[in-house]
Amino acid sequence: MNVSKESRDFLDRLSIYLITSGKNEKEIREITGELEDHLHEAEQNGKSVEDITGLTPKAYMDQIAKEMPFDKMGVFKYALVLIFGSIAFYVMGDAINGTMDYSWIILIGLPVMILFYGVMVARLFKYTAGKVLSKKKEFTLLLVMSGVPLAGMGGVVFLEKFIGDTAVSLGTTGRMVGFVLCALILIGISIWSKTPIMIILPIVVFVPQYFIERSSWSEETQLMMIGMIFPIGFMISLGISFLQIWRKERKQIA
Amino acid sequence: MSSSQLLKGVLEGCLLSIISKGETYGYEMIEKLAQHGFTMVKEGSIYPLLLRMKKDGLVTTVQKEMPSGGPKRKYYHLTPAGQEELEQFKVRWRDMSTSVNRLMEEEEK
Repeated sequence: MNVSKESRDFLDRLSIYLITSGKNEKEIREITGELEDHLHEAEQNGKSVEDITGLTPKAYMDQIAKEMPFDKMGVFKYALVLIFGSIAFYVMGDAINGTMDYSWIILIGLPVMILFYGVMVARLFKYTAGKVLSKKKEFTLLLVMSGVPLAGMGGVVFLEKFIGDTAVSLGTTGRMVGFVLCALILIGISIWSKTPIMIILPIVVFVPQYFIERSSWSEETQLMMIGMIFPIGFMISLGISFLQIWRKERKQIA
Repeated sequence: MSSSQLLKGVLEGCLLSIISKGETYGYEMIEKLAQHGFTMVKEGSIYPLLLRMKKDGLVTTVQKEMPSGGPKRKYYHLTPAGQEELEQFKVRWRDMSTSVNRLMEEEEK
């Protein structure tokens, strides 16, 4: 359905606002679809988004959100996927590197930090969806807000390295089983979320890491290269995912 | 007090009345409201209300293909509970409007 760029932007923001408010996906699709239908007809009669909502975007989004029930199961599902996906990614790296010793610090700290990260990112998306911010401001906020829990996760890993007593240690068989299990979890999440990011990310991060660690470069060079792999790999994976989503949306519009 | 504040309490009854006349969708409801002089209604304001009415079991919805093709359109129907609510609204509105009119007429004398 053809609507103006402003209307499309408003509908996208509304979707994000409702998702991050813990509303049911099917109900979100229903209300945004209904509003898109309305905006399409309204625009043909010379009206704009402002004429339709009559309020600030956030106030209108709040009105809609207030009438929709909180989807406990949906939020629980997302939390599980986030925790299992992140842990699978973390453990897979260890399985490849050949060290799978975990202390209580990591076993408890990592899931807590991952959840904290998820909540922070959701809050940030909800905040930016309800306000019209410049792209630069949005990006800076995203960087700062998601950087805080990421630093927390880094802190947990750092603590574990220095003061963590091993509570769980896996041998070669354990590593093999762990690797296969993690791969299955990541593939499962990719199928469920219909986006390949959880398959692409481990490939673009761990494959180069595997070869770098076995190269003849100095340890400093290796560490520097490995340190650069994750952000670059993350950007590539995210780019591929966005491209896939964009193509799918173009197809739907056509 | 603005028209929209006055309207808040009665808009649900008006929507129930429109839906009772046959299946209809959001934009059509706004057009029908406008035809009856409700030009002060902000178009988007009916959707939170429709969500609540559906939650309260007063209306049901059905997605139907549009004649022009493209995505499906959401049509509203009244449930028996919605019909009952409409009848009650009519009684309440009649009583209230009679009382308000009487008061206003006295004011003008």
